[in-house]
Amino acid sequence: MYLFTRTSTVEMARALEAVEFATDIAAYVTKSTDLELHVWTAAYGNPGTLTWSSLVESPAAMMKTSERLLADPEYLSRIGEAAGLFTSAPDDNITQIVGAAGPPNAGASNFVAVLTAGCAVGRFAEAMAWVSTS
Amino acid sequence: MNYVAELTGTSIAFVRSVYGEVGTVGWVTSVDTMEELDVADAALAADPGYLERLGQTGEFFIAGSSHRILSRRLDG
Repeated sequence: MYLFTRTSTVEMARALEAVEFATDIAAYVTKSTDLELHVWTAAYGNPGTLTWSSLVESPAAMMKTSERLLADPEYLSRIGEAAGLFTSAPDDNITQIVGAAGPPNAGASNFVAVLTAGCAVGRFAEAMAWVSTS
Repeated sequence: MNYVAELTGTSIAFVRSVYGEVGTVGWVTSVDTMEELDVADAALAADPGYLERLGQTGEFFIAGSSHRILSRRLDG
């Protein structure tokens, strides 16, 4: 399983409009595709950003969903309404869920704390092994 | 990951970047309240086993590359 995320920085003068747009477009995408899109605001770490997220079967499956959306006139019209709400182009990421521990999630939780780190050159395999055994 | 999940009782996923920043890995902790996260952080900070494990990570990760954010869900 993979996690798709799209993060945009909000134009603060239009923050309320941006949040309304973000939740509306997420609801539309969830209704019209096989994605279950959630919207997150960074409380600490990257203030002023909004992130959309969805679990996806694979990067290829996400590509097919993106292609369907980009052929959907209603979606494109709604995206056009976002002009001026964000200060930069969105930043997309796809991550693979390698493992999980602890109690299973019953749906999306209210808060997520995300710790990221860059693996040292040449130590990626060891880092992955350390994580899987610790 | 297993050690922290057992110690704190929180749900944690380990992820690796596929598209985005190359060579980045991440731990995603999911909770329903901020209080749960505060309790988990306090438990970790007071646990010698966790601190010892944390000390081993210097070999595998780029110094100064770690970054932690907290996000709140807006939908639903």
